[in-house]
Amino acid sequence: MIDEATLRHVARLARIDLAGLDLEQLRGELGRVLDLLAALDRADRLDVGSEEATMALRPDVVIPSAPLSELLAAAPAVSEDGAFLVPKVLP
Amino acid sequence: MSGAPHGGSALAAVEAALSALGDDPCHAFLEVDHDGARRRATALDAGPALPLRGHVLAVKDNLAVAGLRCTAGSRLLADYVPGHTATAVERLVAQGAVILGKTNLDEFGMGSSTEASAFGPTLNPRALDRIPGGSSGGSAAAVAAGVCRLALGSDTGGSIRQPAAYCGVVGLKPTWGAVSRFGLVAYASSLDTVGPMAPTVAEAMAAFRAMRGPDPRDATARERPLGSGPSAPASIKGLRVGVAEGWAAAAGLHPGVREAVARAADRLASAGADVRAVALPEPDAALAAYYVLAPAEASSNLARYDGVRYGARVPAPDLLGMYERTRSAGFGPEVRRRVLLGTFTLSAGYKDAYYGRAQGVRAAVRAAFLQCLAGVDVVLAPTVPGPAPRLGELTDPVQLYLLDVFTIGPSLAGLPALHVPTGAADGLPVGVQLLGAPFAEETLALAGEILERGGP
Amino acid sequence: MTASSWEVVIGLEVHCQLLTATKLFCGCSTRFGAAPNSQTCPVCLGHPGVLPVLNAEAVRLAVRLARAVGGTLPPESVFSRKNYFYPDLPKGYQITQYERPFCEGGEVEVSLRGVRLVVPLTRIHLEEDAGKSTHGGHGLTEVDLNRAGTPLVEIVSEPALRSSDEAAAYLEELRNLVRTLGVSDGHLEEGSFRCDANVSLRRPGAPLGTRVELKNLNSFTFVKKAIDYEVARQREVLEEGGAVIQETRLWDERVTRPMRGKEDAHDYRYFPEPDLLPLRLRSEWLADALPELPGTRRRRYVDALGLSQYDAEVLTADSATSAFFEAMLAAGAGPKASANWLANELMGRLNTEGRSVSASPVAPQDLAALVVRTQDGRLSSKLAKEAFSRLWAGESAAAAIAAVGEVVSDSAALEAAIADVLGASPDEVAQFHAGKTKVVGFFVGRIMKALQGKADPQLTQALLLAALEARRPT
Repeated sequence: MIDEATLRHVARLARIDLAGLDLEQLRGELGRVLDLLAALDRADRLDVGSEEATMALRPDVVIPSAPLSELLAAAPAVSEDGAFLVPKVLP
Repeated sequence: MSGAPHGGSALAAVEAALSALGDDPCHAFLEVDHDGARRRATALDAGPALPLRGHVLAVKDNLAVAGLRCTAGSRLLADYVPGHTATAVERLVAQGAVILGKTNLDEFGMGSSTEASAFGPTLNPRALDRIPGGSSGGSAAAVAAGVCRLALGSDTGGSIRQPAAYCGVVGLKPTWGAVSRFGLVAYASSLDTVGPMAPTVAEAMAAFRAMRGPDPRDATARERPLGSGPSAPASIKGLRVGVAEGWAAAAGLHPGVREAVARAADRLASAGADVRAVALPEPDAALAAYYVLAPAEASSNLARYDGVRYGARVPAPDLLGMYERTRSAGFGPEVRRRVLLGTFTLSAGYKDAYYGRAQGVRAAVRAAFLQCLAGVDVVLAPTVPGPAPRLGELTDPVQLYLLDVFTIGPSLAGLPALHVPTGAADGLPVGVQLLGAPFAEETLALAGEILERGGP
Repeated sequence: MTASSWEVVIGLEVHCQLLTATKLFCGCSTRFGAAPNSQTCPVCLGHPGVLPVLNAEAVRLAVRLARAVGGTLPPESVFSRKNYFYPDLPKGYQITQYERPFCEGGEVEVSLRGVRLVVPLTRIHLEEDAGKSTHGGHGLTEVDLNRAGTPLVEIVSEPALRSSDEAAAYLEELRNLVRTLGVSDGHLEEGSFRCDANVSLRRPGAPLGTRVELKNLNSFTFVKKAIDYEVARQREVLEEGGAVIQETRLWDERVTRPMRGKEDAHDYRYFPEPDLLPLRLRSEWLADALPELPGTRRRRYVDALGLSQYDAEVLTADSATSAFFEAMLAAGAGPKASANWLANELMGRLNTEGRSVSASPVAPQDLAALVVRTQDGRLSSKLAKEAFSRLWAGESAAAAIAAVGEVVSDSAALEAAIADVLGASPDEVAQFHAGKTKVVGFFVGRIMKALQGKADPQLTQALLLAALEARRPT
């Protein structure tokens, strides 16, 4: 079972707001999944081997992007000169 | 494939699909592109004949199609319209397929029933009170309802095979890396695959052959490696088929499923296959490893949904507040749970016990599958523990996770797996899963076509 | 407890932008100075469903650097994800190398005021850069992602540096190295060569002290000042019986300040990047020819050309100086004289005017012509300096040398002048014959004066001594 402090820490790392959620229920659900994971302790393990395939690489050639206006149109807030706008770290 | 549907007329195929769809009573689709499909079909009919002309395609809504909304079943992406098209889709379109629309799914592919879609559940066309399975429930339903003969799904731990089983259609999960993932909204990258769903093995394989192969936009997509033997045995005669005895005898397995596996073994034997018993790794270790690794990767893959560059934003006076509110409001409960779980199992102090151990278990599971497949060409196994459950029947997340107990192992091992419907139990579709060595899709198809022909 | 009983321990992390046309994982341009977000695409903006594909040229350049520092190149390296949220990090993770970097070990040899210093490296890894956040006045932060995805190598030194001077010398050497290799342009002001410093103090022989990471070190001067400030700060804390807190501090004009706003304990949740397969070393990257590197060149200057370590250090400090020196040698000037003229005369003058060798008004061939004439005795040092001033003013070597006139090395003319001087100074001649050899200087002065300073000094000396001997009373 995940204690509440750990849950809050993890939620902060994941940028998930816990306000308005039933923490007891959430801890219960996560706890039951963790019970399922206990099978890991009993299971056989091997060292993670190497992938046999070789990764293809890309040549260093500029590919023109989609029009900037299209990319910016998807954003919630954009400045006049085309920067994405977000609230400051501290208001 | 036996002749193009609708005499090769794309427009006739589109009109037939739209009329079969009606008002989409099963809610298979999140968006139907009536005009686009008709326009494209008209243009195709005026051009040279293409191999897939006359095929209408339903695309799971976690695969990007330029100009069509791609929601991944999430409120956060409700209005996201990509400018790029998934390679798998692009290759089918290049061969003449016409995109009809985007199908429903569990949010970001995380779920086993399509009930975890932010836009409401999909119903099973074979029994409207049943789940269609998930997460590719919309695609399975579109094929099962006869709307189209080709749909794309994605399979991370069973998301093509399990809904194919519940809806009674063919579903192929390719070898990891056989089909490009470019344009697939990532859930768990090391497990995610894109594959076809169709009424027949031949149609699924035609789509697979069109999609497979390397892609300059996906560094993990690749050819079948050289020196891995002939691409497919010429005949079923002498094909070595292993029956996964332990799995087929698992406690809680529906008798209809057990019977389906047994009948399939008989059918392959009478067609000339060399059938024997094999042992696959116990599914519980794979299930545990999956529920560490998939959520861990998901927690990272879904970090990009932060309300900065696209997607819905919930405003706040400070950055942290904006992030947290945007993500909490944007993600549904199951996604939230998996993101929290994955963050936890990767976090300092827990990573070795969970993520590290799960990687080791995955390596052992993979080795065990490969060892088993070194002695046989195909393994015959159940796909799901039983026929489709009722909508709303499974409320606890872990109960839903257990629906994927037989599909997760092959996913962890990166193997190709084919679900073939073979009959019915309690009036609901049942079928079997065929597993093969990496890149052995053609071998699976050979056995699958015997099974779908029916008869002893 | 005296201040000197503290040992300063510094390790540097240098982020160096590779000279590629495109980003590390997509085909967007890396050109500097474009309009915000105009060099982005769905891949570097972290759109749903897109994937990274590694730039082969970035790997080739990185391997070049690794070979130049003598690092170990494992046959396979692995990319990982470093997970954290920040608006300039589009995917919510940075693709970097963590447990298995492409280069381990290696070393950089530095010369600091004529003393050799070998700085061992921990590792070099490949990673993508983040974008740029600008905190505007309107309560909002502006995010420009043009830089996001730019290919970097991070060069991590061992904590082997013992002073801010050593740190600065190491950085200069490293920058010279990446420029010589053509791996990076090394522009600090454009952010293509950035440095973070880990600084701690300890008693000699004691385990490492708590370290502080210094950021925002945008110039070599700031690196020195920030380290000096931080060393003094930590010393004060320790000598007052306090403890140094492990933290990140920013250099802010005159002081280091704790960095605000990163309230999360760092938990980057690294794991292998599943969108990429392991990177395999290609033999073609190992076959690629390397130019002569600054360290090797320095050793050659000392061992083969007989220069001092100090001169070798000065002449290899940057590729422009080195190229200038090499051009002088190629034009026939001798190494020691060339080193003197370049390091003292030319660079002294350039420094006074705040110019670099690459902006020298004097061409290496012209300076070499002058050096050749001093070496064969046709120019005295006095005349050569006059000629140098003319070169500086823009005259060609031929014109400058002609203007100052060549040395008188005609024996007959010199002997006539000597005879005149000796004839006019019988007392001094007598003193010489009485054993007072110092008067030779007096005669040389007179002879030089008679010939307007153009007498060949060596020949004059020889002829003078012969004339004096001839006049010795028997």
